[in-house]
Amino acid sequence: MTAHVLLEVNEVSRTFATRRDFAAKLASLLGADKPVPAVRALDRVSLTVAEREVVGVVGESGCGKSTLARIIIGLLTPSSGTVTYKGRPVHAGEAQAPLDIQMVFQDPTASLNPRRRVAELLLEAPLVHGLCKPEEAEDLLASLLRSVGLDPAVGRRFPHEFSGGQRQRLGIARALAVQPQLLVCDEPVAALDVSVQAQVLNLFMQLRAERGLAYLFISHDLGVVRHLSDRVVIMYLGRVVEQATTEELFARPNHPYTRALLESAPKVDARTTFQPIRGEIPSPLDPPPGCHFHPRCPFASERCKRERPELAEIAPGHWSACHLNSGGA
Amino acid sequence: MNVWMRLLFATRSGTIAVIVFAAIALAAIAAPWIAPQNPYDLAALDLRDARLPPGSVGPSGHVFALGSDVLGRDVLAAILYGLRMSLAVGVTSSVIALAIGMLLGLYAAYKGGRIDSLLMRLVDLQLSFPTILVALILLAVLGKGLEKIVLALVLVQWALFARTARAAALTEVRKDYIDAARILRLPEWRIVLVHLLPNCLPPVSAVAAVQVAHAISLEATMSFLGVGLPITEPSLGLLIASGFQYLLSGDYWISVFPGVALLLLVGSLNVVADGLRAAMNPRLESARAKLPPLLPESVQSAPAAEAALTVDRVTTRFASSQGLVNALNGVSLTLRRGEVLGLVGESGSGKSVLGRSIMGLIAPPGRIVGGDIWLGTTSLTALTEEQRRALRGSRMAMVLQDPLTSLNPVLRIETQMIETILAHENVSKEQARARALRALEAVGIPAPEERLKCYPHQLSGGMRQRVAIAIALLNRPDVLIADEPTTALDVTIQSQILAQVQQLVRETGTAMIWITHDLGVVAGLADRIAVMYLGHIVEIGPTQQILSAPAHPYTAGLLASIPSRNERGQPLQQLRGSTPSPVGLPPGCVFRNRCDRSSPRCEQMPELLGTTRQVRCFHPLEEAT
Ligand SMILES: Nc1ncnc2c1ncn2[C@@H]1O[C@H](COP(=O)(O)OP(=O)(O)O)[C@@H](O)[C@H]1O
Ligand code: SF4
Ligand code: SF4
Ligand SMILES: [Mg+2]
Repeated sequence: MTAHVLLEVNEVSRTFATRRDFAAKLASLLGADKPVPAVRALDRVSLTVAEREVVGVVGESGCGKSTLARIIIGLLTPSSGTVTYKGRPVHAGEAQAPLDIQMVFQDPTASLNPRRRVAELLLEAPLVHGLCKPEEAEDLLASLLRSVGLDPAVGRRFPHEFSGGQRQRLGIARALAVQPQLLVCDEPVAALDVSVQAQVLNLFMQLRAERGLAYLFISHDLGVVRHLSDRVVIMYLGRVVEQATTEELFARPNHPYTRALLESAPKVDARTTFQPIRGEIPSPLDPPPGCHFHPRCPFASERCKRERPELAEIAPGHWSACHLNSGGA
Repeated sequence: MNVWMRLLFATRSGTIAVIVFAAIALAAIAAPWIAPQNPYDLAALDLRDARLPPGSVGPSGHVFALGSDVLGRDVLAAILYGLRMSLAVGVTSSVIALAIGMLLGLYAAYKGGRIDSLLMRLVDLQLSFPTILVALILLAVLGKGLEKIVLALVLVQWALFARTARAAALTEVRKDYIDAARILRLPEWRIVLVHLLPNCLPPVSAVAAVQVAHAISLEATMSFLGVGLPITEPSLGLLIASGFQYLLSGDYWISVFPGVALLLLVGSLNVVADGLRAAMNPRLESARAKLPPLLPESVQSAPAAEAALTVDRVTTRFASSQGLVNALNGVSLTLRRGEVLGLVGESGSGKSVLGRSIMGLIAPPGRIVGGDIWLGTTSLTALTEEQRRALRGSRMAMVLQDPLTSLNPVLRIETQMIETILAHENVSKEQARARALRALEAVGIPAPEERLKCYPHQLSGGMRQRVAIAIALLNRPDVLIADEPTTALDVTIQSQILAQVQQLVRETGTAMIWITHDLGVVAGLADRIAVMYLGHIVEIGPTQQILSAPAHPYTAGLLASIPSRNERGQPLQQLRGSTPSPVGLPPGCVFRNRCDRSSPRCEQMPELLGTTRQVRCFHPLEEAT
């Protein structure tokens, strides 16, 4: 990929101290020196998004997808590692993350202030930041609404007067209002009805073509990610386990977890008997040592229980973190 | 009219309180014009009028409707002026306290961390002392005077407002719209004042109504005790105090009438506040709605003998403030023994209501207004609630999306499972336990011995759902209804559970309805698929036929929009528009406004035609058979 790199996430880790309950506090008061348990939500995660590129991030609940999104957007700081946007650090002291990165949320209802009218919702940020003069506001509003496929005359309405899919369009329009180059989308169609998911996905693709937007597209739905993304990153328990171009990843999945995920996904066009991988997803509070996936992996060996497999390039642009690729497990 | 006001008037006590309060407030405000005397104009008083009983005419010729006090003051006039002062002090101090408390509470909730815990320590500290004590101490330090008592009342009230505002704001700051405002880099003051504040106002304003009443009684108390308003100011507390010593000698009116006025004011305000709080609880609104009326009885048709479940023209409606919600409109289907039916449709299409109707779990304001449901040859609609309850858990069972709703949080898994068996069957406790153990094994729970001793919260979401399924299948029910039980789970866990459930119902011969919005899930699981749209079954038939050759335009549109059926990166085929509201639907085919095949005929409602392959459409893509 020769296009300019827009976003670079470099070895980012993030731990959360869990709140101690009463018993734990009492114990530490009485001198029991047990460390506060910490959740390692992200463990040395690296990825890049180039200009106009769509990078899909896939993984199951608790694998750190949303934490990653919140760090990139500047709502959270990493415990270690760096995030740079166009070469400048996103988390540099007081300086805030650039307006260029915006976000589309999962829940279209919760992400719109219920007491503000559409015009206020969409125009507030551009006016505050001086991106538009008050006398141009009217035109900006109409063009924003039109670009997400809404009637330009709805400016005086409140969010509750719209359907779920229309609310998600409003959320997208609000993000577009500050002319971002990168949209971080955290499960943006998961809460929508099946019949409107396609409409919103089409809107994402259309905006990409029209405005040259880049996306970090987080989803648990492999079908959606496959349709939209140029590249896919697979995460498991806070780590990136595999990363490749979409075609490569779906044609030649390498990591055993990726393969399990592809097999488990419900499919309309193959009457599969379900062939599950075994085991529960371990708690992120107490992940298994070595390769996090080893308790569920059909190929796990002694080495996998001890040693963390590093991401390695197994084919041009195809990275995977599994011992099977380095002289066997 | 404002929603709050409308709801306030919905209860009789609320109406009376509003009227009483409004009358008092009006009289108080108008006191200088309507009072028979200015009781604080000392020159106008005549000492010969002192302590006259109600209704008497004084030597000065003045008529004392409620009597006069020691100074020869008209008690009615004094009460009106006193009420005016009470309201002014109460409202002013509460409003100032609200503004201060709210700003602090909101800012603390928004910032979190040290600022938040510091402020909350302070609030907790202050609230741990009785307000009356704090007020007394403050006034002892500050001295008497109008501004001083207002200041004291602000100081005793702000903490409660801060706490209430913070609690409301804590739920709001977690919502995505606040994150969105941060990402848009809006200034902090703007996020707090423009976004947070309006959304936290309703709960705080309900507290404010109570606080005004509280402040009024505090002022009266302080003045009564002689630390509040100076004697020259009108105050109900001072009036009561001045007549106190004459109570025993029979001159009751000097303190009793002001006391009654104070009670009425504070009492009506409290009821108004209660009404406001209740009005903000939407659950009360639906509880008050009238039940939907029953449909006229139609001819019953006997169920097919071999069917495990027969649903015959079931119509279920909910009363709501917008009107009748037509959740199910004459839904019919049959289920053979051991058959798995996938019930698909988007949110609000009536899938859950159908499941709950079958289980007899529709509660007011909802009601099954017509149709019949047969479990084998037992008509469920003819049974009493008692008899239906006996059937639930034995011959029919249900699993929900959130397993915690069906598991008891304070009982061990073991206890819950054994009880379920013993409730319906006469076996020994040991036998029941052995069966519980086998049931857990059957749904793929590792180390079932240990899990039996766990409480629900000690298990992961996937484990809990397995336990809920095991319990539902314990008594080998004829029918199991599973309402999106794997929707919240991860795909690898979902596929494990699907595999096990599929195997289990085959073994037990249980007929199952699997409700989901995911066509991929039912593709591998169901023998037949029923598609719902706006309370109607629009299509029902064998899984493979529906998926490969859908007959109804809605089904066809849904399937065509699935990404895997589209070329990668190309625009997806999409259904246009969105689902209309189920309230007040126009007659005719419910899919008409989104359908590409509609014709003038579609202004009539099509019937569900066919036997094995049923479709409700005048212009289907495949013929019904
Ligand atoms: N308790 C209730 N009060 C009022 N309306 C309800 C209630 N439960 C369901 N409804 C309405 O009934 C219709 C069908 O809902 P539901 O069966 O939950 O849909 P689904 O399960 O397909 O998402 C919807 O319009 C819904 O708003
Ligand atoms: S490193 Fe070992 S346990 Fe992990 S995925 Fe590869 S083979 Fe499986
Ligand atoms: S009946 Fe008419 S409007 Fe309804 S789905 Fe069929 S063709 Fe479309
Ligand atoms: Mg439902």
